[in-house]
Amino acid sequence: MTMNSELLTALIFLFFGAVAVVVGWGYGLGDPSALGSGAMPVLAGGALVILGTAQLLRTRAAHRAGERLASAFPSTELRPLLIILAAILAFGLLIDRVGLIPALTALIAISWFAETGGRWRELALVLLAVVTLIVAIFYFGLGIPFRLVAWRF
Amino acid sequence: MDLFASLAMGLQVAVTPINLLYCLMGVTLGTAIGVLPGVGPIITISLLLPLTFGLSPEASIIMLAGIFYGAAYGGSTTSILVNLPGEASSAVTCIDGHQMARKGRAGAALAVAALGSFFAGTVGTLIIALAGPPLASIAMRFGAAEYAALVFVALLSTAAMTRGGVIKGIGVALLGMVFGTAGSDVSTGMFRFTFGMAEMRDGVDFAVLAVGLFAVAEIISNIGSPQGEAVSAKNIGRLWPTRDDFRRSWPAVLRGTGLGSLLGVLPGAGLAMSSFSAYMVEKSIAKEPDRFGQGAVEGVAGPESANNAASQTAFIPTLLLGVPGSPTMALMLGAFMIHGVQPGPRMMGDHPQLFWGLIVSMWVGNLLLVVLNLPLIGLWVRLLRVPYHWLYVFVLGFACVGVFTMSSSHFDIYSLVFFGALGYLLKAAGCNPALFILGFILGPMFEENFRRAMTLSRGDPMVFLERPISLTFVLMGVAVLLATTTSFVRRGRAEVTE
Repeated sequence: MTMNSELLTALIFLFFGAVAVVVGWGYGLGDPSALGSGAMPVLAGGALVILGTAQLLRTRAAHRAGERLASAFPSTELRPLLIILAAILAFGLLIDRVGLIPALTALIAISWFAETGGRWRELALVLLAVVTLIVAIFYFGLGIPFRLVAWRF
Repeated sequence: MDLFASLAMGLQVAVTPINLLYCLMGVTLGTAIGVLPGVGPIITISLLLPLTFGLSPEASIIMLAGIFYGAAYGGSTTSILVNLPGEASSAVTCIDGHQMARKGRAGAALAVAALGSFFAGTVGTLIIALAGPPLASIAMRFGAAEYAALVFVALLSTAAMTRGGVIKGIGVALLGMVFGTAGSDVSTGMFRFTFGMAEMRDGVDFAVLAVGLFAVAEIISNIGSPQGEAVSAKNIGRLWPTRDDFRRSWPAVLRGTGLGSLLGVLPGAGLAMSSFSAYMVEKSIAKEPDRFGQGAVEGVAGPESANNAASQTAFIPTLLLGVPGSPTMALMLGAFMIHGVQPGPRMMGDHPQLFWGLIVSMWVGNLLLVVLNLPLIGLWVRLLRVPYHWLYVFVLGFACVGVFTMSSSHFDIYSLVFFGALGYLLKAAGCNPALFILGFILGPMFEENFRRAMTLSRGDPMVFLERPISLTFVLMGVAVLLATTTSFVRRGRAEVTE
């Protein structure tokens, strides 16, 4: 059975619902006249588990009926997903250590390759334009005290 | 009389040179980002939210109002020129607006949309000013039980009315509610879902959540999917509508304004329904309905006015009750709360400058759009022609730096990765991440009032059914749920039998 969007919905609901119920239970339910910190997480999480289960049963029924649903993850989107998230992560890792300009450069250079066929010469141009624009807006325009270039490991 | 005094006070706040400048900046930036293909108002507002951080409450709220209208206007521009609606409500404008653009009348379509929106916005502003004081005094009498029931209706009816089915709609809203409980519990002070991270003690950061769920997730799914074809600037045509356009448009604008003003107040019904029903009305009463879909100017004027009137009156429940009726309103409410402004029935009495300043700023924002942005149309068209792989790296850089400026913590950047991934998963699952925001904002409100109501009634849940206003809200919620689930069951049966 492929990971179609209906099944994915069921799994998301079941996972987060279960976490909310299990963790929320530990916060204490309290009693009706003084509901505890865990009451709302357990209530919302429980409802999520119920909806997730209903969704799972529907998906199985549809599967039995021979319905074929397309995969929720088209292969064309896997590359952007990983590269974009990696680019943001790199920005987070670098910003405190090397300053705004290098971190931004890394972010742009990595995310550039999320789309296939990006050219190197164009990348240099984009880097220059985007870094200049963003530094102009945030550092000079809004006056936010960034370290433009730093070296702290 | 009182009305004019209040509006005059608002005008005084709104037209100080510095606030006017912020309004102008908001409108311009909102249009500039909102006009980008595939970038709807929700993404625009969340991207620009960090820019308002250092400002005073008044200035930031005025700038947000400007961003809100700029984003909406940018969205209609993209619908008309590129046939790519940023959100459901501007999908209707695409039908005839884009046909007008293809016939070389994009300028007239944009002008009619802007002028119609301005008229609708003016009427909407007056309605808020008129309905505000009496409604606030009714809302002052709401207790915890009424609030809990009202939030329940708002959440349920919005969740049930979105595409993708009632299970997904309600589920995503519940998911948002669960995330909304993270951080310290207001009633007991207990830290929830912090998983030992000190950064989580204040809960999930609203701006990070919005940027991750919308901007980052949208970029990921947009790369790789083909973009629409932009109409080149040469074909914009004359900006000023013809005499015939005016003759056909003004009744449509009036009808759209009336319809939109009414529908905008309802939770869940929102913008999409107002513009869609305005289009249906225009088409059904037209003498030659065949013109619709071929570039009929009424098909632009009606829905655009309805859309703008509704987005104005949607502020009524948001500002007066503190309960947003749509995901975009939830985003605006969240933005207000970041700045320490708590909308609700007391806002008008406690912060009259802020309240009336905002109301008048909305109108000023509308005016600025007509006066300044319409002549700048050539510039927006040029933005449309920037290739997407240039745009997304800029938007991504803007998003990361913007998020980082708010607290200078790289924890926020890692959260951005998490919410970007979650937003992408939700989109892949066919769930609307906008409902997540609604649940996230309304969840804590529901919890607080629900718990307080239960405490006041000494643990008796009948309190929600004994009080007439609360009972009405509960019944409304049940009716919405029944109406959607029965049609859902019927469709489910049809699927099985097929």
